[in-house]
Amino acid sequence: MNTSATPATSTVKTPLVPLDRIDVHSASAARTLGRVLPSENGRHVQAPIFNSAL
Amino acid sequence: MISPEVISHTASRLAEHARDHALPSVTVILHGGEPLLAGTARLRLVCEEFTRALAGTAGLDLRIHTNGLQLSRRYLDLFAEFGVRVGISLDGDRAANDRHRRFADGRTSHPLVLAAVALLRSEPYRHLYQGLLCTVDVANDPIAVLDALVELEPPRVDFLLPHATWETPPVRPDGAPDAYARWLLRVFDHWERLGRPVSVRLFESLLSTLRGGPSLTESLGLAPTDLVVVETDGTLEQVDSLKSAYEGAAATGFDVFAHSFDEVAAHPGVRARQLGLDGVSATCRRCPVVRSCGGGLYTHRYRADPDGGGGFGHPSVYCTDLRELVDGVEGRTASRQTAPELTDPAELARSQEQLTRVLLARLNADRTGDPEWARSWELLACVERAGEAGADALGAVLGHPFTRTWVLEALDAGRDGHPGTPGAPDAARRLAALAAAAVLRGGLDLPAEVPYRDGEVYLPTLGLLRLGAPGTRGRAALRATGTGYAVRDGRAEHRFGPAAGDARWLPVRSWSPPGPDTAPVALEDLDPHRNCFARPPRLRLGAGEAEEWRARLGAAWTLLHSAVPEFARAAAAGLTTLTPLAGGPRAHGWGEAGRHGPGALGVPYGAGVRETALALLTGRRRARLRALTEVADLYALDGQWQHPSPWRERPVPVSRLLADVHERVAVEAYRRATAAPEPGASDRIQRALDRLAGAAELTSTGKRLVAELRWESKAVDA
Repeated sequence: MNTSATPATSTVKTPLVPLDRIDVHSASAARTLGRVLPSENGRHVQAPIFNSAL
Repeated sequence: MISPEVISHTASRLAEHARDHALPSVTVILHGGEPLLAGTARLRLVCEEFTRALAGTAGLDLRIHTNGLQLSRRYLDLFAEFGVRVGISLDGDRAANDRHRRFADGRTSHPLVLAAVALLRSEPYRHLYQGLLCTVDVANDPIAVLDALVELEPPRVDFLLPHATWETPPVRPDGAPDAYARWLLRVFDHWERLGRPVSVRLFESLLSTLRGGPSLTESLGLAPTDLVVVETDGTLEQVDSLKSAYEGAAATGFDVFAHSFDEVAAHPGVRARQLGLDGVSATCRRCPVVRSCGGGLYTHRYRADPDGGGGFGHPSVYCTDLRELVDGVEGRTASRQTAPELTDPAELARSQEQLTRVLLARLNADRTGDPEWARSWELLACVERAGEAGADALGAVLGHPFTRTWVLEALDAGRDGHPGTPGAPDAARRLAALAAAAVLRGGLDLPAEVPYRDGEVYLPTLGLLRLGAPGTRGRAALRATGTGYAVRDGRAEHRFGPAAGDARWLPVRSWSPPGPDTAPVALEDLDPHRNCFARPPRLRLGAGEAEEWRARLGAAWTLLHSAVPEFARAAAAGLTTLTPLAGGPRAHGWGEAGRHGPGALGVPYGAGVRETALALLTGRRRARLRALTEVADLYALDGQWQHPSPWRERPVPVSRLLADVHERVAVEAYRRATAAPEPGASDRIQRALDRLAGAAELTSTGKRLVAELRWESKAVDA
């Protein structure tokens, strides 16, 4: 039996970006696509990770 | 001082490397010692040479890191001209900074650094302000240090652990093995109390990896190191910090005059820091936090061997600190870091809706220049703009689970390199049908024209319209009437639908599950894209078959709700579409989730009531986990570790183990409720959950899911 608490359901609905205005090159779209399209998850620009400088 | 020859050769080598590897951008950090000691003329030459060499090849991100003592308008004017961003070393408040950063005669340097930061923060230089780098000293007051840094409003801050190895361990004033973790966690808590007023790279890297994202610093996480240091004489070295391990540790034997950056990249020392998980010690590989700490900074792993040699195949000298830091940050943030999709079905549905929309927009970007596609795309946009009825109609056709299947298949076809081949008109035809179905559903006064092929067209969520003899093709105009729809093919208009069938219209049937407040579920046996399960779908059911199936589904539904009501309610949530599959039940009679949107489930048409009940239960569990993994990160680096599985002969990746246990918790609940428990099933579930609890791959969200499975499993055992 499932005893986990009944999840709270959010009530505030975020408006959707109109279909013809979705920027598929944005970072958020890349994240969304990267989970289901492995080829979109390949090369990306990595921020510098040098420890001794920002 | 760096010579013009070294500057010129380095710039050429970098441009060559960027060109050979088609790099979108490269970062050049002027570092020291103290790089401002080179003077403005030499620094101008550096800026000019790199800008010239990279022009037209790759973006250039120029930075400088300085102690700030020499920073004046002359330098900042130069940096403004070339867009050089400036980072400054500052260890915190005056007491903290004076501990290690006094002049040789003992005078404090703190006021000079503050003056440099003030100048950098003033116009017209403010945009060059990169941030502050603070080396940790546990003797300092962590609260005062963070306050002092925050007061200077840096865009970014980072905290560095002092250079140390197992041979020269870090100072630990109270002898505590976790002094640095405790110090940093006090900073973290204060940072949180202040509302995270500034970006802190160290903390943000931990939060990123705990969510399943990348590391943001080479001091933490498994990100491959992509750095090379060019010394002032042109020799190429590994990172500067390595020098603190032993004399010559950073050397490669290469220089910019004779060697390319590719040659440096192939150097064993550089390669060793690019191996990710394969580059850390065996102890680290077994550690549940290795994805976040990455074994620590490479330098900090150095330990001399008894035979006089030495190496980096050890945990960090800060290992205890790092473990406590990762656990501490996770413990403080896990509930906030959990993806809302896990705990809120409405969020999951919303994210899934968004995913389909982004995928469709992505497909649209691939279809530039296809006029057929463009017409339908514009129609879809008009539908969306046509008020609530339009938005709802668009939501319905995009929420159709096999719309996702179609988009993914069309994207695959484009990626496989054959846009413009048979897949292309198929995609445009489907989009036209999708837009037309939305127009009809919304009762909108918009011109909807669909091409048909082989005498018929499938209108997603509505049904199949026959417009001619098999083998014929053409175009037909569709419109909504008061009670149904109408199609004009040439001069004749034919009215059809929505529910009543005739020879030319096969509507999608539905089934209403028993019980109050249940929404009808589509019995989808028409959509050509429903063929996305592990086995083929049934062809269109006859009317009698459909009635029989409804009866079996109803009985199975009732059985499921009486046996495991909570699991049954969860299975029902979001179910929109059932597709009959060919053949009888497989071993165990379990249902199937395929490559489709989250509302669908494939159920063997030939399954009896009990098997159908189990198929509904297991199929929905699979669909829910799949839906979660599509929009949230439950784990990262899947496949990098192999785990023993109680249900499989060979070790499995974490995704498989999680999927198996996620499903079996529900199956065991059902079996117990129907007096058919599987011997040892509970022990196997516990073993799998124990293994998952220590799996390094799991994110905060993944761990929360595992915790939920444990609660569910305990409730089954109770």
